[in-house]
Amino acid sequence: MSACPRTFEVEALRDGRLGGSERAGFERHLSTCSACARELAALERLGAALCDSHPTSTDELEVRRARTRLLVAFNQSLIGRAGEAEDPLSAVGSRVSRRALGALAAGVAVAAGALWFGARADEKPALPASAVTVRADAGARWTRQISERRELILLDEGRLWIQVRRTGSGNEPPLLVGLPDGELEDLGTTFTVSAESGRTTLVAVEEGSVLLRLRGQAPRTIGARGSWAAPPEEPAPREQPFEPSASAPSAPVPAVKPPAPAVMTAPRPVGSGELPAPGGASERFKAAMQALNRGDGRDAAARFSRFLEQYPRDPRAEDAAYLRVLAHQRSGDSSELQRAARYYLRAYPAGFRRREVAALLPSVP
Amino acid sequence: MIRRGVQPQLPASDAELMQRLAAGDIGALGELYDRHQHAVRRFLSRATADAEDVDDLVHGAFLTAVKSAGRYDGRESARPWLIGVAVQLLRRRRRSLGRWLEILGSLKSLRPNSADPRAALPERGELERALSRLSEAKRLTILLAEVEGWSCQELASFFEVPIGTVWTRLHAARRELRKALEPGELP
Ligand SMILES: [Zn+2]
Repeated sequence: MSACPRTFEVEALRDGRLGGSERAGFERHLSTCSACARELAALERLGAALCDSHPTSTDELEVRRARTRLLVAFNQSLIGRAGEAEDPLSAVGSRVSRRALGALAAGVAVAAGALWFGARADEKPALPASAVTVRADAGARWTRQISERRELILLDEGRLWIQVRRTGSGNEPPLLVGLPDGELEDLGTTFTVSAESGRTTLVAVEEGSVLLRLRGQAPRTIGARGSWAAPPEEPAPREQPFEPSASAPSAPVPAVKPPAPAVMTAPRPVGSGELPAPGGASERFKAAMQALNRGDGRDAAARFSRFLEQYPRDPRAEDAAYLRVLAHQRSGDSSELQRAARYYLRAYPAGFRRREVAALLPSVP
Repeated sequence: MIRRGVQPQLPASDAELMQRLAAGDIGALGELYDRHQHAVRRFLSRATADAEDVDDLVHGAFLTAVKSAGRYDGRESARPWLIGVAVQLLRRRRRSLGRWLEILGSLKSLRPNSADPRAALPERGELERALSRLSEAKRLTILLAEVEGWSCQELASFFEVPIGTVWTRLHAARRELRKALEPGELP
């Protein structure tokens, strides 16, 4: 290897230490000196290696948790009482309850019985100014904070039904829903939002509109009766062709309705923590659950069908559609089972139990 | 899948996000985090040479950024600015470790209760090991210059040292790194 007394100037060139004429002179030398060219290449290799090296394996889920932690801390700093405030994430931890996903069908039916009835205790009383009603699935991990400046709901996992009733006084703080991979800004509305395994899976708007911002995607507004569903991470199960409802004797109303006035089938409760109207949807859902739990699949299926007909937009409708599949499975009626399963997949293409339900159908050639 | 009633909107620029952040817009913080957390995290994990408190430093860097968002200079990418905040945080932590341990301790209390699911660090390559053996001043200088593209002049004013010190640090850092990577090949 031939040495060159000017090799030290290579680094000077790279760090911008050589001015006008010095620089031009050394660049001329560089084009003819192999030792200096080698040195330049070595420095460039080192720089490239430093840029390319990926020392950390960042766990995507952990990054999303850190994101939630940051938003909580930011919100607390705005509220200005970070010291006294309840630790929001320890509250999230304590809310972790039975999780139905991944369980065997029979086990799921028992856990699903806790849906909604178990969710009540999760709700925190809101300040009087809040115009927001929240209902959560039993397994949902979420937290809620309210200040004069904003109301913040952080959803880590599970499903929330959220209703915002603005009085127009302008006194209610704006609502922001923090999601594992983005935010959802309420623009005065009623909507459902689901998150699963660190990502948002579904936003369905009943009334009003929301602004959805997801990481790496352009923000989008979702208007009344619009919905957004995350594309499946794995290839989605092949859906059965849509069958006209005439072929189904007890065809319930599809969840995604054609444009129609947003009329509620049952009056919504106002204010946080209120139970659904007694004697209505809740009683019927409970009765259907009881039928399922005592092993009367046929009766349970009929009751869930009626529930779906009467309360198609109830937050429990998806559960009812799923439980009806289980009820038919229990009663051993395979053609009804398949019909109910196809209904579930059609009405809830991003539903929580999509994979389980799809597995019950014979594969499509 | 996008259905009826969904309209995409154009994403905001970093400068717009910083403005909204200064006004207390939490959504802006989320967007800023999504854009730059990876770069900040990666920088910090190498700059600290140990991954133990990287999460807290990333967290602290973005929270500190919030506090100074009103003084953002309006440049197009907020990345150099965020990295600068992160480095300041890192150095302050070293200078008065006690006070910062206290602050970081309080940040830690916001962690979820669950066990830390972060996977153990992968085996570091030779380059990363060599990097971790550098003094902090040299490590920060070479990373900011070679990875973040800061000029020697920028480094000098950032660290408040003469530019000659920056050159010396860069030269020493390269020498040590190359000794580890290409033994016997130095001139
Ligand atoms: Zn030469």
